[in-house]
Amino acid sequence: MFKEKHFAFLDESSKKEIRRAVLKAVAIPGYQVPFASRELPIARGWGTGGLQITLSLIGEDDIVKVIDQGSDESVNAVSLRNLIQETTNVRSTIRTQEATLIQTRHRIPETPLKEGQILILQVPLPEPLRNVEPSEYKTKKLHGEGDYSGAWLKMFEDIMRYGQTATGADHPVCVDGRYVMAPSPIPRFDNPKLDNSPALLLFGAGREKKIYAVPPYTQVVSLAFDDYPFRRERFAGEKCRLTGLSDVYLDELTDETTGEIYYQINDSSYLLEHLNRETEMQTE
Amino acid sequence: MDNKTRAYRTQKIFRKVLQSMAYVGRPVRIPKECISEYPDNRLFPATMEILQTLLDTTTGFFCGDADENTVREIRLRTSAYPEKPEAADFIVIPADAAENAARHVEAAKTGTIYDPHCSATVLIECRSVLRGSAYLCRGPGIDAAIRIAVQCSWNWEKSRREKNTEFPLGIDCIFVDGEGNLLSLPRTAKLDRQPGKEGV
Repeated sequence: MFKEKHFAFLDESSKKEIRRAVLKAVAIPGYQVPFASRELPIARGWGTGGLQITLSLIGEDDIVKVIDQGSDESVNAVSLRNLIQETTNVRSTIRTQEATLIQTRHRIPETPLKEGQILILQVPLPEPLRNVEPSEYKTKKLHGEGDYSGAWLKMFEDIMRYGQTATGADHPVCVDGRYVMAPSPIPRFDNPKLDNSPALLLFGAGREKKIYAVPPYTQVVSLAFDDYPFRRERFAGEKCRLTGLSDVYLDELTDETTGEIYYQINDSSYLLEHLNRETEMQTE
Repeated sequence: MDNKTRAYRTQKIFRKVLQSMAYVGRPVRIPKECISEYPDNRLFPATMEILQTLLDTTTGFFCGDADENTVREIRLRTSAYPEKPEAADFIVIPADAAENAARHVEAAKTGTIYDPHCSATVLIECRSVLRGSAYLCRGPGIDAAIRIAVQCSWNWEKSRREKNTEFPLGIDCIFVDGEGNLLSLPRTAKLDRQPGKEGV
């Protein structure tokens, strides 16, 4: 269907504008650079921001990986990957260490990223202050003036109400000591992976028309109070049912026949690689 | 060159520029096959390729002390419009610019605290980005610290430092040499001169 389309779908003028926004985003870590989000053959809110960045960056030599909530095989991941491949003819992979461009929704892979890789996160709500201030005009001013008291107050109220911060995902982070940033709704488990990452991290919000970035080796600190330190999700000693691993992000699942609750690694390619390695060792 | 070849080429060049902006202080080289000849132009061919990669009808440029031919060729090849240095999105300082080229950088726009991205990107042509005056560079994009060296005929470091005193306001610099090597210094990069040292 897309065989006759221009390379990487977007026209070159659109790519230029997105590329300029990406460069400014890298130069000002954590700052949301506005851009003219383009129409794509998928609806806004389904990863158009990430997709536009991917299509503006991708070249013939790239190897692309697309994941959605940790899975390479979900409908959304497969559809986005198909669109990228049909318009570029680049290779795709599920192996994190092999990929040069990784487009992801809501997770950072378990396999540590390395220099030269680019992780592109799809972001539904890029504004970390939106919960406390509905006006875009005002949040822009607050960022400019470095006034993040709203974000702190929200966390304080959570602690007063629930005894802990209540951010399940998208726990705000401070980038290089200046901008407070929404890390896209990745679980708190993944927040520490943003800090000093050797890979370049790009964030694209298509509906909200914003691009922002965390350059490699940049300090990223999850917001927390001294007496209420930041904590990742804990799985209370639970292990993956298939691998026995515990220091990974787990999905809580229910066995439909027995009603039993069990846990399994969320990152499907990491799970597969681990199982394959175990099988290889057994056959040797 | 057909549109498809141009699309592949600008993609490759952009990734090199992005790589140099992300991994601050590490020189990268634009592949030779991505660089054409521009015989009627004062600028390095690599600079022309970068301009064609990033500029379009919505961007204003200023080419310091450039002759009419050079400005005309940039306009023709990018569709960008000439602008005064204080309003330009891209400022190009040619390698053979006069010693007072710093005044163009000093005039560059640095954005506002609300719109720091509305600032200039400065392309500085220099003799080399692999040897010359040495600096120790720190900041985002750098694992601890990195030593850089740039050989340039005018005092870019002073002008850059003065423009970047109030983060997030500032300018982002891309150094280009005649061999097609690039080295980027975004506004976050902090430099310390290494006295008496030349080269990396």
